[in-house]
Amino acid sequence: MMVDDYLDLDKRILGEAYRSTETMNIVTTLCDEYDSRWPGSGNDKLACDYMAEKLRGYGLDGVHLEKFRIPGWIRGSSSLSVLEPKKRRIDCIALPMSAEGVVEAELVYLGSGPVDTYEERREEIEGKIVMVNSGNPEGMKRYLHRSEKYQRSIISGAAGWIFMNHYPAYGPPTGGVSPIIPAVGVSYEDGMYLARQLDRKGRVKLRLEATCKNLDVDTWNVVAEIRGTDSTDKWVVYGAHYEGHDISVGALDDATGAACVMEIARILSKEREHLKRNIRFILFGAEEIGLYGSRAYVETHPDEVSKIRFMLNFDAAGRAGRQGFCLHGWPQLEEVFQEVKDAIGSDIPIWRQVSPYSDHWPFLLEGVATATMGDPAEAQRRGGRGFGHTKFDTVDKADLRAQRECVANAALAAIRLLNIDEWPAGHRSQEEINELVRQQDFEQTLAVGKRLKEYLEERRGELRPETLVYLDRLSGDWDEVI
Amino acid sequence: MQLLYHEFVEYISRIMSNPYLDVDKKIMAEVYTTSEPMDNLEVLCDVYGSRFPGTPGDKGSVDYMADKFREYGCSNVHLEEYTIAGWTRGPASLEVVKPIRKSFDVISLPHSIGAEVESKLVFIGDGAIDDYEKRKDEIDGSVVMVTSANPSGMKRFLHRSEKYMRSVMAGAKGWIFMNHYPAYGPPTGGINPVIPAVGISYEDGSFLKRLLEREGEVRVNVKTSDRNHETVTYNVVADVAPNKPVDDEYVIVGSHYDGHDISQGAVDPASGTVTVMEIAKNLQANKDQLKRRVRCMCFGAEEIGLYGSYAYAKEHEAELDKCRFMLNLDAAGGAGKKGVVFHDFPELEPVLEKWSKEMNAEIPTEQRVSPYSDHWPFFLKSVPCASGGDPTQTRTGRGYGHTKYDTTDKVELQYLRLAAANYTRFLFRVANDDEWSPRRKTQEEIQDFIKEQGYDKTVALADEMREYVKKNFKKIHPETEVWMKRGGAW
Repeated sequence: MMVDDYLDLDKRILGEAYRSTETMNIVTTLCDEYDSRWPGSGNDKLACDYMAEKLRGYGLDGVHLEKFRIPGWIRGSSSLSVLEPKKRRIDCIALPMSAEGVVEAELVYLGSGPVDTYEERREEIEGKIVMVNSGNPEGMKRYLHRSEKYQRSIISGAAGWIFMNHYPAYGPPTGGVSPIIPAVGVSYEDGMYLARQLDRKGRVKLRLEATCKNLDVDTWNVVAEIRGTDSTDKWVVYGAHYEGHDISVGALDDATGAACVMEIARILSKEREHLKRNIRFILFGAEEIGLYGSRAYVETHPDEVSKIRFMLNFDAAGRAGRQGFCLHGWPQLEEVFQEVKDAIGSDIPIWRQVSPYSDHWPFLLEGVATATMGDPAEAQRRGGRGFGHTKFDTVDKADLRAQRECVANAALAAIRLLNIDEWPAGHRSQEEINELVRQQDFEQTLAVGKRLKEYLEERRGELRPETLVYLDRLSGDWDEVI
Repeated sequence: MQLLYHEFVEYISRIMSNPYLDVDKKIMAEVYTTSEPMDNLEVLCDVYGSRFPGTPGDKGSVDYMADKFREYGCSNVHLEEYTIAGWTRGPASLEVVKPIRKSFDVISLPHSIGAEVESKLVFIGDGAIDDYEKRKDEIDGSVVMVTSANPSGMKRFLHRSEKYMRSVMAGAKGWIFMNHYPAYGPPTGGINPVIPAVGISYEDGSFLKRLLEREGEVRVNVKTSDRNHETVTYNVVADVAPNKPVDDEYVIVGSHYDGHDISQGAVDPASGTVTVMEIAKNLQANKDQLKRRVRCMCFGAEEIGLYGSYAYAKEHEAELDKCRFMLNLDAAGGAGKKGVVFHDFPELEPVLEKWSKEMNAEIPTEQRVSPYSDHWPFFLKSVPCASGGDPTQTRTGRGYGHTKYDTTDKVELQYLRLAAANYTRFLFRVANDDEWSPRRKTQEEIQDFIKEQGYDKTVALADEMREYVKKNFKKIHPETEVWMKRGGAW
């Protein structure tokens, strides 16, 4: 029996995982010492140095930083005022990558902004400031991402954009868009006020000002590895982004994920003689505003990609809920994770679903078998990002128990992923990748991206300088779905 | 068939035993076909803001309420003006100066003085009663941080103001009140003008707590710039007066209308205020069957010291012995069952139970007294009284209350309707009941009761703090001086 093969090893790993407080120390240091670790803030570099130092201390091999350049963004002060019918200032924050500028226009509220609304209400939207909330439209199966709502609003002629939190009391939400029109987040309470004013008075005129800078900045990935006993050049990648949104310390999104990856590195490093193949640990930068870290990694290591048998993404891992495995397809791999579940004897959800909005995506597009840590039941209960993407995503929300469980489950999975001789999941072909994405309805999202490109091309003469830079970089391909 | 027969008998006996079946039906039909309370709430919150004493929205909102009472046909509608110890917020800041430098979002607590203090930080968790004395040496000269949670194992509600006073008397020079709810921002709530006091969010408070644990010593700078000054504010009074009352007894139903200045005060208190207005409207519509007068009131300046209800009880003291009952509907239209919490009048429980049955309504009840709302000045003057509330709900704190998130969108019409439905019918019966006879407490009994509940300690504490300040403060802030001269509450 496979389970018995690893019994002693499993026990040592679990013993180590369940008596360590290292993840919580890392989360606390990342958040309290280096704040958001936002690309270009300076703290991203300090955090990378800290993580690299830690990994060296754990005895990892080849620990190094990889620098890459991204279209960065620096927040200024932004403001939103009601001009008519009753003057009032509303607290708001600019959304990352928002264009800079001032818009004075009437408000249109689209609720959670279902896919058809933008086309149906095109005449109303034209030239207006659109407000959409962060809830997923009712009856919609796939996740309608903020950036798609933003792009659809622009194609219908929106001049400004307001993203309203659908959670009470969590303040204004943040989240990356693209530098086309000024875009800000407002709290549920203020959004509801605007919606009520619109209901009662019929017409609300706003002034929206986003002050911010789109500019290229350097940031870093941290890379480390453990070489296996077998000389074959096969790899498993465990990765998590380490940076949070600039308004937050990004404790659950994603300091806990980064800490879990580091803790697994520490534990596996002690057991290296039992690992047949190689495992690489990557802490990605600049995920939140466009998966730049993972894209840079895949682009700069083209030879390596074909040798990666599996990539496990720890975005928002180690937070409340069970610590399960969401496979992005690959039903033949379920058995591997089932084995982990049997070995640990606890409730570990294993399911299949694909989403493009995190660091596994560039790997998936290269055909690599990928999965994300998570719990579908918890996600359903939360009904959205919860504290994520707000300033309330802080250390006090992090829970050592969940981190330990994440480390335990994923470390046991690593043993199996690294030691299976007959690997059952080869790389997908380009056709299979296209087919998979089509099944998941992301085609619509991609189509919106293409339409946006056309829309902008037609108006090239009227565009803001930062939009032009953005447009010239736009390929309209899969990797820009986010 | 037998079952049906039983049901039939029960039905007949129910109509026979409900003398107000027609009135009840009329009230229910009106309550459940109107959105009037929600409309009023939107105006109070969205148009007049916090209605905090002294703000422009204060006077605007009382005029609006008075106009509404007139529109409903109430008689003797008028405003009663009085002067209170008012307060105006200024910017506040909190900065860690050692071992790191970092600023935090904070808000002053109402009645805080404007001052600056720089000292070491002491965190005393939920601030259990013994902590202040035990950790006196640590607290002396420092800035104290306490959470808004009730200390575990503590039966009574340890009010913010008590935590504040105990901190001051242990030598605290500054005070930080930390929310115990994640994501609800910094809490507010009145204290006394003795040392600078600010509220901080759960997240920022947790950061400070972790910093203290890691570094051992943390120095902070607290700066407030508020002003304590006298302010004029108002109570709104409206009567539903039968043409031929059977005697000169009457009933009072009231709720305060002012919210905390940082908030719309939608649940606390506007949901209760609009419930009083809806009750007035419905009682007025059934006035021909009403036997005694019902006075409907909206009190000002509750949040910073029950000023409106104290002013009323003082001004109208001579009439209070004819007041057969006072129902306080502070925040009564929020989520939950619409029950009646009697303030130590157990003899009224069977009466309510009988009425609930005849109304076919679920009105849970209990006996409990807290001094922190507008029934209290009436309770002290021997008026039988109760508050609207849900005894089946266990409360662990104020939730959105006393934060900027207490906004219109938290209020639901279904609960406003339920509140109006239950309390209108209940009050109608209180006014009409010829056998109504709760026992009025003597002044001696009231004092004994206060002692028994431990509230005398809270009163004594305020006096004790004045003595402490007189003895120990080298320099007394002029606003503290005014407060000390004014003398004790209650």
